[in-house]
Amino acid sequence: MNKHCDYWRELIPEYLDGELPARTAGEMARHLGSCPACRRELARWQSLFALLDLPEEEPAPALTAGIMAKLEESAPPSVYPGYRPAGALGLALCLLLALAAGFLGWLWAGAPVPALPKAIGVLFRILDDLWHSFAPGGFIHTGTGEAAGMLQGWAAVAGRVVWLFWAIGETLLVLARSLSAGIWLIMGALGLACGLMLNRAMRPGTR
Amino acid sequence: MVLDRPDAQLIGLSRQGDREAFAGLVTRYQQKVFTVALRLLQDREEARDVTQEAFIRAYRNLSRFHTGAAFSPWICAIAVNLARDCWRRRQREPGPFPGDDGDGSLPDVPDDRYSPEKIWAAKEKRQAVQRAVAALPWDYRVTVTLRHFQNMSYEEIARSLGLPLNTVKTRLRRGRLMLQKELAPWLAGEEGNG
Repeated sequence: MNKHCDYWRELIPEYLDGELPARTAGEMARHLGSCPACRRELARWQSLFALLDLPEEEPAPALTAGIMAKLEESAPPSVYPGYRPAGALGLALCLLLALAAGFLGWLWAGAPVPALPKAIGVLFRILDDLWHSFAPGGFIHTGTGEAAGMLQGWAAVAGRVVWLFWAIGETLLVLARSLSAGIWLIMGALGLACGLMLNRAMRPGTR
Repeated sequence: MVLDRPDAQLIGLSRQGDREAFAGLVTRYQQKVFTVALRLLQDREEARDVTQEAFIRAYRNLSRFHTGAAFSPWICAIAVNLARDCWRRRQREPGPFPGDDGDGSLPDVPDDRYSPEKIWAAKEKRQAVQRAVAALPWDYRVTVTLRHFQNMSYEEIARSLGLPLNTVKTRLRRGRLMLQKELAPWLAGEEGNG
């Protein structure tokens, strides 16, 4: 026995299972052809595999009838697919609700609001500008030959879009800074718990 | 005829609530599932309950079954999980070894070409194998059962049990080495015959 044989002997069960790559299996067959010690090892494994080759067991004839009788009592199969979008939606809704409740609570408790209306005001002004840019009579309708005008128009829109995102960011920042990290954490945890419960409730039964 | 239809069609119909189609799947796979449960638990009553419950759960959760996948590994995986729960319950309430029915009776060997001595020897050997498999640690027992009694590939076992392929290989190898040791007297006989 040498190291080379050790390597092949390790692979004998996989060889018998047909799980070796074709090339390795071919090399194994060639090695077995030339190594009596490894052939004896192969025979040992083959005899174990033969012992384990037991026939399938016959269940009681009434098994199918029993299963079908139980199914008659149970609900039809769930129509929710495996990834459960309804559950995911529930989770998102609960998080949103928790955030909204927290925000309202913050306002109700007399939160310092000046920054918030300002941010929302900026947001609405930009939205209004954008709306008028695209509305009839805006820059898009300045005529087909006016390339410079078109370019200017697009640049203005791009600027407003950047401003829009800036304003959204500012609004979110004001919201985020309005409450302490602990409150956010509690609201998030509550939302997550509600979402998980809702998700579980909407899941097809497994018991 | 329901039984002539392919699995995919029966699964599709079952998802729509067609119980006859599902009965076709039960008829087709109950022997496989029962065999897995029996090899793992060594108790016909428990194996029957596990088989029954596995099909009921499969029916309820057909929506989770990936269309195009093979039904057999999926239902076997459900049965393995249920059998594990059953086995754990049994571990908490130890009783007599379930394989021992007490009356000394052994399952019938369908082939009657052998003499009574040979039939008895075959039965004895079969029982020895069943006991050796049942004595394996649970994780090894499951992989050995799915490989040898269900003829599942390593990949199918890994997918069914949610394990990495290398873990399956390791468990299978260790389980088989234990079986080699446990069944050594029978292996000598097999090699002699071979």
